Amino acid sequence: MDDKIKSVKIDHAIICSQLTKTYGSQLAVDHIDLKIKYGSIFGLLGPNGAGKTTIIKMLTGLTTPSCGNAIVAGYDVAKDSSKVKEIIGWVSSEVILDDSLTSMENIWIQSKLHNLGKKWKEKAFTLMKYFELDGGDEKKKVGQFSTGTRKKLEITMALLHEPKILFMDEPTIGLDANTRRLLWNLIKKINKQFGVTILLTTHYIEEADVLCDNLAIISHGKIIARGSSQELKAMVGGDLLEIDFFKFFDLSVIKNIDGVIEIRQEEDDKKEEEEEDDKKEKPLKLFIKVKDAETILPALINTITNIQPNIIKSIRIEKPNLESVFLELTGMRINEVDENIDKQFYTKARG
Amino acid sequence: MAMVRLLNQLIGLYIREVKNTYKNPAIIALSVIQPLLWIVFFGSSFSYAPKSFLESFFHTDNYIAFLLSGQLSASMLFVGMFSSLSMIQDKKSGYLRRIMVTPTRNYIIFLAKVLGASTRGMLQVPIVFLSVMLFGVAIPEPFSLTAFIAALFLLSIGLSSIYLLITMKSSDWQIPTVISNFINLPLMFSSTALFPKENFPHWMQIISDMNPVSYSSTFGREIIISGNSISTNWVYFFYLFIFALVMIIIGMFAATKTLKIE
Repeated sequence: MDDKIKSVKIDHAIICSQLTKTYGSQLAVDHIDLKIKYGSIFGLLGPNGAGKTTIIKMLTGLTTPSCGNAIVAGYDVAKDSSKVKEIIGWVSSEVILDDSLTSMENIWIQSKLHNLGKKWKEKAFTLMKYFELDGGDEKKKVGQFSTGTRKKLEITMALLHEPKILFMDEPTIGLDANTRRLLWNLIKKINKQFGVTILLTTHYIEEADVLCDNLAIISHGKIIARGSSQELKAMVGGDLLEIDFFKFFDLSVIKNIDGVIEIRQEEDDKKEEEEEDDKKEKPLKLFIKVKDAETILPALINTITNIQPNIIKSIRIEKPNLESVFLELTGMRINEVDENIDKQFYTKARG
Repeated sequence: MAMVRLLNQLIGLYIREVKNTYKNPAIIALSVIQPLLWIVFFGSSFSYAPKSFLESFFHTDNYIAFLLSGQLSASMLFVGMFSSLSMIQDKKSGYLRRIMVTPTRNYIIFLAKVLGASTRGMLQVPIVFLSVMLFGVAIPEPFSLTAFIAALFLLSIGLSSIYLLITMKSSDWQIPTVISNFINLPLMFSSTALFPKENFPHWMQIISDMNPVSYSSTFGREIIISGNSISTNWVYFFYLFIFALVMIIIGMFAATKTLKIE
C-alpha cells in the first residue's frame, strides 16, 4: 500500500480526491478528483464563480477543504500546509505587490518570507534578466510600472525560491491582447526552462487551448470534462451551426436533413409563461450540431428559405473548440454564464 | 534553523511596515503634529493659573511638563488604531494573501504589524521632547528617558495587539475608527494622562487604576518632573511589561487560529 502511494507521489504533482468546499449552505467545490503530472501545464477552465479560485485556495493551503483531501508535491494540504507553501509559487489574478516599494524591495521581502539567505539578490537578478525586467531604476516604485512589467515582477517573485509547482490564478485577466500573448509565451518558457508544473485557472478559451497540456472544465464546482484540448474537442463530434432567426421557425423540417446530428433551441426563461402566438413572433436561436458544416449548409439554407424566405438573420459556423465543448456540456457559452452572474449581482445590488 | 526562518520572516515584514511609514511623509508629519498640537493648545490652558494651584494640584508649576507623558501615552491609543487599519489594507489589497501563500506563520504577520505600528508610534517621541523644551520642560537624564520610551513602546505593543485582536476577522475600514471613537476617549479621560486621579470619583479611580494609559503616564511623569528615575515607582513599568506580554501572546494565539483571507 505504501509503495503504491509513493509511486503516485512521484508521478503526480497534485492529487485531489473528492475535494469539496462549502461556504455555509453553498457548495463551492463539489467532490472533485484530479491528478496533475509533474512538468505539465494544467488548466482549470470555467466561468466566473465555477469554483476555480476556491480550488487554488485549497491547494495553496489558504483554506481547508470541507471534505476530501489534496496532495501537493507529496504533502497533504490540510495537514502539512506549511510544507506545501515552501515548494509552491503563486501568481494572483490581479497583480498584488507593495506599490509603495521598489521592485528590489518587493523581491527582498519575498526572499525573507522564503528564508532565501544571501543568494536572493543573485537569483533575483538572474530571473529579472530572464524576464527582461529592468532593475536599473532602483528608486522607481512598482506602482509606477506598467501592468505587464508588474506581472513579470510578480512571476519573478513567485519563482525566486525555485518552486516545484506554480499556481496562476487567471494570469492574463485584464491584460491587453499583446501583453496576454507575451505572457503566454513566458508561461510556456517557464514551464520548459525551469521544469515547473503549472496549474492555471482561466475563463479564456483560447488561453486554455494554447497553453495547457491537459485541462479540466469546471461548472458549478464540478469537473464536467477533462483531457487534452484535442480529446475534449473530439467529444463534440461535429461542427456547430448557430442560426439566428427573425422569428419562430418550425424545426421539424430540418431534423431529417442528412448530416444533422442534433438541434437545440436557446433556452428562454419566460418561455413557459408566454402564449403560443407570442412565441411565434419572437426571434429564435438554434444550435445545430452537424457532421460537416460546409457540406450541409447549402441544403439547410435551401430547406429553410423554401418554407419561409428571409427568415434567417445570421449564421455562425463553429469548428470544434473548447467553447463548443462547454456549450455541449452545459447548454451555455462561458461568457453567457458570466453575464448571468453579473445580472444576478446587479439585481441583488439593486435590491 | 526554524528560528532563523521565523526571524527572517519577521524582519522582512517588519521592515516593510517601517519602510511604508518612512515613504509616506504625511504619516510622519501627522503623527508628530497631533500630540504637539494637544500639548501646545491643551497644555497652555493653565498658563495663567496661580503657581500655588498648579503645585498643589499637578505637583509641578508647569502643566506642560505634567501633560507631556500623558499626551504621549494617550497618542499610543491612536497608534493601535493604525495597526488594525494597516492589517485591513493588506486584506483589501490582497497583500495578506501574498504573505499567506508563503510559509509565514500567522503569528509572525501579527507580530510584524504590532512592532511596525509601535515603531511608528515612537517616531514622535524625540521630536515632541525637543519641541517642549521651548515651553520650559527639561529633558530627563538618558537612562530615565530611555526607560520612559520603553514604557511607551510596551504600552503601544499592548494597545496595538488589542486593536488587531478586535479586527482580526474583519476587513471593514469603519470598524477601527468606530472602535477608536468608542474606546480611545473613555480610556484617555479615565487615565491620569490629563489630570491627577485624586479628584476622580471612586468608580473612575478604579478604572484609572486598571488603565494601562495611567501607568505609562504616571511612570513618565515621575521621570519628567524629577528629571531622573531615582524616586520612580517601577511597578508601573512592570505592569506595562506584563500588559504587553499578555496581549501579544493572546494576539499571536488568536492570529494563528483566526487570521484568514476571505
